[in-house]
Amino acid sequence: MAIEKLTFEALGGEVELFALGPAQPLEATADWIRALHRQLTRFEPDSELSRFNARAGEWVDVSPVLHDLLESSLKAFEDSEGLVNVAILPALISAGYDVTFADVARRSGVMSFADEAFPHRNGAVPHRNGAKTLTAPAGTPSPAGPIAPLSDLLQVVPGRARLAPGASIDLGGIAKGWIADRAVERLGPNSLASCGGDLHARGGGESGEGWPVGFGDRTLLLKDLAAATSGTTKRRWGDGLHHLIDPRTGAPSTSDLSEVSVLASTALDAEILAKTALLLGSDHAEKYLRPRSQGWALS
Amino acid sequence: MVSRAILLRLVATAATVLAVLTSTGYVATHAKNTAAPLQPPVAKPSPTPFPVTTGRIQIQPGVRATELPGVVNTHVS
Repeated sequence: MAIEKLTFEALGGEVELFALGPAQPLEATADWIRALHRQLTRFEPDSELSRFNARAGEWVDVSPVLHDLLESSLKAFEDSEGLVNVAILPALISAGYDVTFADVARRSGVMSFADEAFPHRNGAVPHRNGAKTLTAPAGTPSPAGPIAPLSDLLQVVPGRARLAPGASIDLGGIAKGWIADRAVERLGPNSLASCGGDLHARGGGESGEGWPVGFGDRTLLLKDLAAATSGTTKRRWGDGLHHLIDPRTGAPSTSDLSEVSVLASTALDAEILAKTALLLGSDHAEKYLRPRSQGWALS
Repeated sequence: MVSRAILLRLVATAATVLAVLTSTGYVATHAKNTAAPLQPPVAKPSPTPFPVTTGRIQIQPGVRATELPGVVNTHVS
């Protein structure tokens, strides 16, 4: 039986689906992911997430998907001792990430993810050395300072949720991990889903021993295991300007780690662990990961 | 002459007895402390449960590496 594969763009990056004897056509799972993208993007004013953010201060009816993601966000905040906080959106916008990254990149003259991932699509050729180094765009407000605890900003009850006035959230990596975990449930017992590098390998792959997955400088056989990477090496638009906001400062992280990859039972957990470890920095990352992760790579 | 020889023997004997008593006293008051730490301390084995450690990658025993190329990589997006 051959591995079926489908690659497409969604969730701000590249999504890759693999399955041996899929439970349903891969395109059906792709459609499900595209629909989630439309529901959860902060760049479309009519997405459920944008409407939720726009009504901060009010109790809002939320879909089961958004409800689950908000609950997951609160758990992530707790598990990371406050370092994974989806309420960083105002700080992210303040730092200059106020439109899709492709537009941020065009405005700043740096290579966008889409250009790097799909250089054939529009004739663009990746040329990292040619990327400009910029400061924040003119008029960019200064960072907002430490982000308030998510538990003070977000309340969730069955079917409804409320953001504190002025607060807004970006589900980012939380959503990608959450979606990868659920995509393999749809794909079948021997499948792999990668949402922009946050991935979940279910079953043993073609050999039965695990799906071969690049992890750091080696290839690992992942069987019923997930992996995620957090880092500051992409989505950069200037000197010290990148998408990874440190809630302790409200500014882009200045961690001495630039990239952390982590193994965990779920892609959501791997995403939370990777981001937390990166923000902790090299002095504390391994101590934090040792009791929580099946493996990690730091750089 | 005889009294001089006796005097020399007495001096030599006294010097010998004094040396024995002094060294005995020193040893008795400077016994080796068996609880004293070794210098330098003996390296202890690492407490990490992970057998695979290369640079800053650590992988649990249950996860295997392969020479096969990955079908996909985990990466920053």
